[in-house]
Amino acid sequence: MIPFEYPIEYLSKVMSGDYVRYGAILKDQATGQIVGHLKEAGSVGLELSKLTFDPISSIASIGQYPMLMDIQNTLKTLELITSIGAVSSVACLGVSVAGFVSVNNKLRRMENKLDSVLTEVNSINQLLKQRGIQIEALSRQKLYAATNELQMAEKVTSEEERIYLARTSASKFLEMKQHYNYLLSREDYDPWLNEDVSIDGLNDLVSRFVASIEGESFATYMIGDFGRYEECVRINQEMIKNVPIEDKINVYRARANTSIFNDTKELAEQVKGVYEVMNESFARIDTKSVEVDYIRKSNLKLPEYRDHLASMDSDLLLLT
Amino acid sequence: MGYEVLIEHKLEQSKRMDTIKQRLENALDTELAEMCQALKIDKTDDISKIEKAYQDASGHILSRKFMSVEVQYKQVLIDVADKLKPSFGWTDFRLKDSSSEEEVESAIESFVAERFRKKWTKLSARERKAKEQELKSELEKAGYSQTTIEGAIGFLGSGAAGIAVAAPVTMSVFYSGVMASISVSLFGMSTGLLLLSGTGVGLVVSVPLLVILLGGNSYRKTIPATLLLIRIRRRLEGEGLL
Repeated sequence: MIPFEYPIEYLSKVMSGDYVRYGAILKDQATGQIVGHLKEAGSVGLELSKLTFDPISSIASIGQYPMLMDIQNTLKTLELITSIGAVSSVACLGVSVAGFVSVNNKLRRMENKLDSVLTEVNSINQLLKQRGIQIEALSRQKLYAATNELQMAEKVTSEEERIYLARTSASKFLEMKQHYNYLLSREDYDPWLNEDVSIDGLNDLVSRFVASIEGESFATYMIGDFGRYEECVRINQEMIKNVPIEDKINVYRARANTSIFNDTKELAEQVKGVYEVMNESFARIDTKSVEVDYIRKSNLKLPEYRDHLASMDSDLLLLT
Repeated sequence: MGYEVLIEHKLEQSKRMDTIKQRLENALDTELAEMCQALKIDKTDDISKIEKAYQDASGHILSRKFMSVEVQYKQVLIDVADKLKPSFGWTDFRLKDSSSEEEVESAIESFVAERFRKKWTKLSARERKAKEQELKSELEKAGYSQTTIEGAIGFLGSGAAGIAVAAPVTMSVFYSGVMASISVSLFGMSTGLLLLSGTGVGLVVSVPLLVILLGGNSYRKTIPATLLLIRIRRRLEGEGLL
């Protein structure tokens, strides 16, 4: 079994700044050496996914979730409930122990801003038509359909049916991931600097991109082929590294200068929030490979690894 | 002049245009270009030239009022606020009172919004619809984005309630050249031209009439330039939060 410890043992070093959290890993600030990979055991991930998107409200509401109360200090010190990035990101801390339902919970609480951007902004929908991409292929409904299929795959008892559903949903998520990546790629259109894409719309676009990556990863994981899963994680890691992210100052300026009905302070807070969520999401995807290494070194099969973590008492673990 | 008085005098002199200089030093190229347009000088990124042009325009107004050519930014702001105040009479701001430059700037922004609100609520539904169409057409011609155009229509279309809840800073585009002709048709010559950024759009009024209405060409430079300086501060405040 994979060796693990409890992050609480390391909190003093986190508080002193010697250790920092990046995505799902703890690392030594000075050397960059990875200390361990954070994992939710039991139903911690599921409970975390029910928190509100506002960190202040999240902390206030944590009393509703007894298992989170027990590890509240750990969660706070690691900024897993105190930062807007952590509470709003649809990405998990590595493989979702709670199942894809935790990603789905967050996705469904997000406001649907992108669909209206795609249909109402002429420059975008013309571009998609030229590329032969149906707007419907990027719609929220399409994403929900894929997530529902994935959740169905988790519940079916037939192994054959499970793998079949996982394969088809992996294929759907892959297609959506490619489309969203294209929109973020700035090849023919720049969503970062074009004020026709609202900040909420940009947030929705990035979140759906992340959700597609998470969906594809999870579906691939469910297929049970470790080699395939490892390759999927690697490709996604490369993909997010190559997203040409614009400097947030320029994103703000593009909208402060030309959009007339924004309060500039409110706009700045919105831009800051989007970047915090994006940075957290990308960090979690980037660090999935560390967990893959742990799983490989422990010679575990994917299903037994996840089932073992799910069966443990609800806590936050540090794979070491 | 005694030593202490001399020090105080020097400090006052340095305060006079520090704000302007700081804002111009942090202005984007596009903002400097707009300042040059507003002040009717050749496009330049030489901040000292722009600063001088602003001093000249505002000093020209104030020298007649205060018989002094030494101008503080707050003095300029108070004069602009007095000019834009929608209701009769001056504002309560005084140079030596405890109000900050930012407080006077906020008042100026709210006066601009209030002027629009008053005019807008007096229009009939049909007249408002016609103005919305006119606005949409002008903004499309000027190449504004769909988001900006829809925001402008939504803003005007929301009527008094919408204008009341919109932050004054959001009115900044209404002083742009593109909006000048709309402003003139909406609000009549004097107020509309007060808000011109000096691009030349809508400058169809005879000069003598302008002088009588606005107190001279200097206001047509000082007011839009001051609104631009306020906009620069708002932008920088937002960037400070990022």
